[in-house]
Amino acid sequence: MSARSAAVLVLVTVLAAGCAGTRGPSGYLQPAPVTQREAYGGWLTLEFEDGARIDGELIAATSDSVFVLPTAGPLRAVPRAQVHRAVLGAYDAQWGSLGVWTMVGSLATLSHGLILGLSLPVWLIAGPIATGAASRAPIVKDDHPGAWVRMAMFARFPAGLPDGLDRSALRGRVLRR
Amino acid sequence: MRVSPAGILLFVAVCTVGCAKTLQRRVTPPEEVATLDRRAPFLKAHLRDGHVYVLSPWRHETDSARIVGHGVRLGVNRDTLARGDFAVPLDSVVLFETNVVHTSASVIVLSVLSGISAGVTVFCIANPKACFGSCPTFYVSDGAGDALQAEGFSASIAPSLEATDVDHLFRAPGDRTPVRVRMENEALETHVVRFVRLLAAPRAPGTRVFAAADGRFWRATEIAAPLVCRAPEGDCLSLVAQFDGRERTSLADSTDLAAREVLELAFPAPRGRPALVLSSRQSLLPTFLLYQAFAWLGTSVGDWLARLERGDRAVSDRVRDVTQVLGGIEVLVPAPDGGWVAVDTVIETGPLAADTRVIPLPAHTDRVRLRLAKGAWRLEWAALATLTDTVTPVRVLPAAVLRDGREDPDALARLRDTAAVLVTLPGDAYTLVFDLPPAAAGHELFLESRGYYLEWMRSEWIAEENPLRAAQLLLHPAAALRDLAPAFKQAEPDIEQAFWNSRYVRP
Repeated sequence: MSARSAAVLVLVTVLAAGCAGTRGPSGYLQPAPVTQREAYGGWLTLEFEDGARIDGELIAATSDSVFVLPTAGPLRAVPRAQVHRAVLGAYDAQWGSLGVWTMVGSLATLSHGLILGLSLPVWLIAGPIATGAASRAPIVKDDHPGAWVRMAMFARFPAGLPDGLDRSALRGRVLRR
Repeated sequence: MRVSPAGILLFVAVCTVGCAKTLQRRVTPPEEVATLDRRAPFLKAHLRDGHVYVLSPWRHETDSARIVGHGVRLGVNRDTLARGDFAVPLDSVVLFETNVVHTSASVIVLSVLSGISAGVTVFCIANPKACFGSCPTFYVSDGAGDALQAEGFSASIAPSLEATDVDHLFRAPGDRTPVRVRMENEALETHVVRFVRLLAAPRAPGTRVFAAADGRFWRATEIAAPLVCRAPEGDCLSLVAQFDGRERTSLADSTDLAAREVLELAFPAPRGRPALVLSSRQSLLPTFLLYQAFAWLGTSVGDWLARLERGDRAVSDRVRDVTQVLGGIEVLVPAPDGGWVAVDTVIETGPLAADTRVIPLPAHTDRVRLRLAKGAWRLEWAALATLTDTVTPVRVLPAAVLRDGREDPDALARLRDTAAVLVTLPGDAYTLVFDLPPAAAGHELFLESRGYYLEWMRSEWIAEENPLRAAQLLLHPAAALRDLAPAFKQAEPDIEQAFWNSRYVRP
């Protein structure tokens, strides 16, 4: 197997590790150090039984409703009972760098001689697992009790919509292209 | 692809500091303000009107029921409304939010892996003259699985030194056909292989066939282990009595790498024509010297090799002088005058696989001395055999050549045509398939290979370029081996492990 083949193998292994991504616009989610000092909501994807989908910033989540601000269009209020599946990306986990790291580390084992027989499999197992875990860290899904409470923490208004809020005046994050 | 350890460590450092952070967020109602996570550098105070203060630093003033800090007040669209020092009454706050950023556990896992990984790589690079080299390696089944049984034309480090090498596949069963021989290039070398063949000598029950230095093949019986093996360190009988992977070796002399030692062997009295059977391989001392010579020659290695190619007598004499100072394994037998006389010298170049040779001895010889450079040789097996007659093995050409599991007719044609060569690069591996002729008791198998190889100069070597020391090695090799002793002794404890760990292997 050539080094190029090894690189492809590592890449495939990393991708096959179940790394989780979000569908947010490029640059919307910020790394954790930035997110801690900003006050926007995370990026929410709602899927419905009929296949329809709404993507946008999570503005607020209450016991019966979820409020989403798409990149285009007004604030959407959605009854939670209608939501088939919800996935929230809270921040950018930067797991891509861990994938590169895994690939670099795996390729570096080519210099290990006989030890490669041990070190490459360790990288191919541990690297993708670590990368996959990092990719899933900022993801919240509504697949367990309490998921909506946790999602609400990452809303722009974690305590719910403010009284008297002019919903039509809400604007989303301005993305720098 | 080459990934330097410095690159790995830099990447680790950058990633550890800058990538893959996790965020631990907590929200706290104002009535529980005392429980705020004080590790959080930023405090967000969400107000009833949807505005939010982002404060850093911040503190809770218990006596005045407010939060004070420096930061910004953001509107519902998170545009900045005000910046400065703020005192936020608790009763205006609907929820506090704190965030603590941690380095991802995944980063820690990969950091540990990288540290270990870089350590292995650094170890190899720090011992560049210990790294794997020396010619094509040949793996043949020993009945239980593939085993490294031969290395081809180890002394042929230039086209003009192209040579034919015969290696005894001592552990190959020889009673099964086809025989598969895996040929690999596991070093930073270019291998130019003229041919690879099997020499199959029919066995008779109770006999083995051994190769002698003069090219003859001897059938031998009554193969007896030594009764005594005495080395400077003491009894060495258990190490050389059988071909079992346990080898007798010693450490190099700390003041002179050419210093000799003597081993004494005694055998049961022979009944016929006696011969010493010796399985041995070089230690890494000769490899160290070769690579040191390349390092000192540095950028002029090509000039020296070119002079060798042009038949420059002076250069070839110098190379031979260096080789002779280190020497081979001298075989001595008792002389009529009570002293000892040398009958042959075994020089099987290469540190990878032990080769077995037979050395015919004078009649009635049952005591042998071996004189060799300390730390330069590994003795796998010694025995006394009775020679019966010479045999002519059948030369078997490969019937098929496989690469990556598929037939490679071009490689096959090149290995069968002595006018052509097969060139291999690091990581290349071929499986050669040989069909043995029928033989009732099987065959004794020998691998006959011809070619040469070119070492790849390594940047670590060029850095050591030193024409004066190169000249000393070539003009006064005995003195150079004394001067080099401290450097080799420093590398000696780890050189074997570093060498084997540094094999170039494609996964």
